[in-house]
Amino acid sequence: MKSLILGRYFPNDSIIHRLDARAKLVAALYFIGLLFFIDHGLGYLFVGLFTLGVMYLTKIRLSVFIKGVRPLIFLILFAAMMRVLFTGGGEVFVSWGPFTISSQGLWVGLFTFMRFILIIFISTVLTLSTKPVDLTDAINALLKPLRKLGVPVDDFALMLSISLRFIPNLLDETQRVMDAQRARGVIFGEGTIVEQMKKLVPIVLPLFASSLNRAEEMADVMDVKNYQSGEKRTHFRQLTWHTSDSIALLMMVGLTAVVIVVNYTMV
Amino acid sequence: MQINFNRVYADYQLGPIRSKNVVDGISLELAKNTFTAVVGHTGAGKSSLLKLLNGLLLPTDGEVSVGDLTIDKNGKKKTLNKVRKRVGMVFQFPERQLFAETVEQDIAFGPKNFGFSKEEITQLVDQSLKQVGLTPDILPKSPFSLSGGQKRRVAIAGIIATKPDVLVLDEPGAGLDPEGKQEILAMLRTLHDTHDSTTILVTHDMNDVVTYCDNVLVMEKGQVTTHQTVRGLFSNQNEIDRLGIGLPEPLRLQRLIEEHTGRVFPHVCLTQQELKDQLLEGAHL
Ligand SMILES: Nc1ncnc2c1ncn2[C@@H]1O[C@H](COP(=O)(O)OP(=O)(O)OP(=O)(O)O)[C@@H](O)[C@H]1O
Ligand SMILES: [Mg+2]
Repeated sequence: MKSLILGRYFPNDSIIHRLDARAKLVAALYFIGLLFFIDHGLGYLFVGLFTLGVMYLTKIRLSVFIKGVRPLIFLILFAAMMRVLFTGGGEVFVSWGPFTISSQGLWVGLFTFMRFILIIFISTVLTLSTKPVDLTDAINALLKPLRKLGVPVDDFALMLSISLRFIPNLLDETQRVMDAQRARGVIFGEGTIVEQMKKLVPIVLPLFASSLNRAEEMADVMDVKNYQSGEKRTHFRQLTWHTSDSIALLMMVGLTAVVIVVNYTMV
Repeated sequence: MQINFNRVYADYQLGPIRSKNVVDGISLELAKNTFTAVVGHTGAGKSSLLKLLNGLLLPTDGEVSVGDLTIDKNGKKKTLNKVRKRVGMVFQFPERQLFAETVEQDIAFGPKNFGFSKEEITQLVDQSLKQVGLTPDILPKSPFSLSGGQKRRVAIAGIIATKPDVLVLDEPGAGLDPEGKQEILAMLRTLHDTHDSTTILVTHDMNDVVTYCDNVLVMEKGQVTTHQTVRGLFSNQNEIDRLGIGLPEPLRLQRLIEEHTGRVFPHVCLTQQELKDQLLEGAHL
């Protein structure tokens, strides 16, 4: 549980923390999109270094990010392996039925691996350095045009902010319930898969019960406070755009230029 | 069972945030068969001290020993399991851990994990149910359908059913009606006396301390500021002022009377009965 940091916010004072949530959200989404257009090792090296730089600027230790990837590493390795085995071309080292290990395949596997790691790193940077409420406000601001099409953007944003708001509570609650069941003699991470699955019941059921309770209370309180969906409302917090935010977006443009140049010149 | 803390330090780590020492070099000794209250302001580290006792929180330095078992920062799995069997832990709001389909299954969960036999378990369930003051007709019900007080009792029954040598309780009366709280605490005291167990109780209520506990341990900012008998502590007004703790109701009344009449009572009155006797005695004079 302790290593699950993707989605958690860690207050700190850094350039990255101070950036406008809208700038960070747009830049992160754009960066992730950009990753899918890189098809050269040098391009990955470059965006990799860029990511490391951004991580450094958050003033949060590298080991924290690495710990955050650890729970997902097998999934990533599996995906990379599949790409290696099913991609042909270049020099073929091993061939077995439909599977081949080729130079091309190894490169593609490595790219897939890099892509996943960088996506996790950059999303972690985003959630680590941005207050969940600011993130929701940013999503709200970016989705605003959809309101013209009759999409209930505000309700969606509220739903999102309530969910985000309760992630830390849920994690804490999970820890508490796990501790309580450990004290009753449950040993987690031991036994066959079926046994381990069974051990989830004493954790998941109390969590469900408390979440449902909380949701019900929340709905009642909102009714009592006469919350109406679809009403026009103003915002208590205001996001403010600074020069540094424009610079952050310009850097994305610069990064795009580099990727294009690398893709076309290095063949 | 004897409990020892030997220069124990502990903290919590969450991602990049490492709390400062929430348990800050504690050494202490809890003798066999004592009933000890742990008091202190919120955030003083009381719950953390309890968690150290059964390895849910591992010391970063120093050792905790329960009988002949010792927990240090390495916390070997085998030792931890033995310690957890020995130390029954009732968390704050223990009803949040209930999960099974029936009350019976929920109470049997702990004993089953600790390897008791089927016959033993049936017997333990019945016995612990009686001890917490519930009747067998509750056994087939769903724990989620019970009242708050009943849930609390079922949760406590689930812990004492594992036959712990040491019972630790984190504010077992919190959020209950006053009567229900007194019943549960009285029940714990009886259990302590009949089973010769060692009991540690975290509470915020000084009346509970004087009514049910023999010893008291005051915590402040991760340290133990005093550890002595309940009567010893409340007989020493200077110490109480220094530690900044409240007075039990009878003693507060005694101090008020003393202030107004100028008459000083020969000894401190910790319970209503003592105060009454003292006042009646004074009336004859
Ligand atoms: N799971 C946790 N993660 C990080 N810090 C924690 C955690 N649990 C407690 N702390 C910190 O440890 C310190 C001591 O907490 P603890 O729960 O032991 O206090 P307490 O004396 O039991 O307080 P209370 O009377 O409010 O229950 C507090 O400063 C708290 O913020
Ligand atoms: Mg506590």
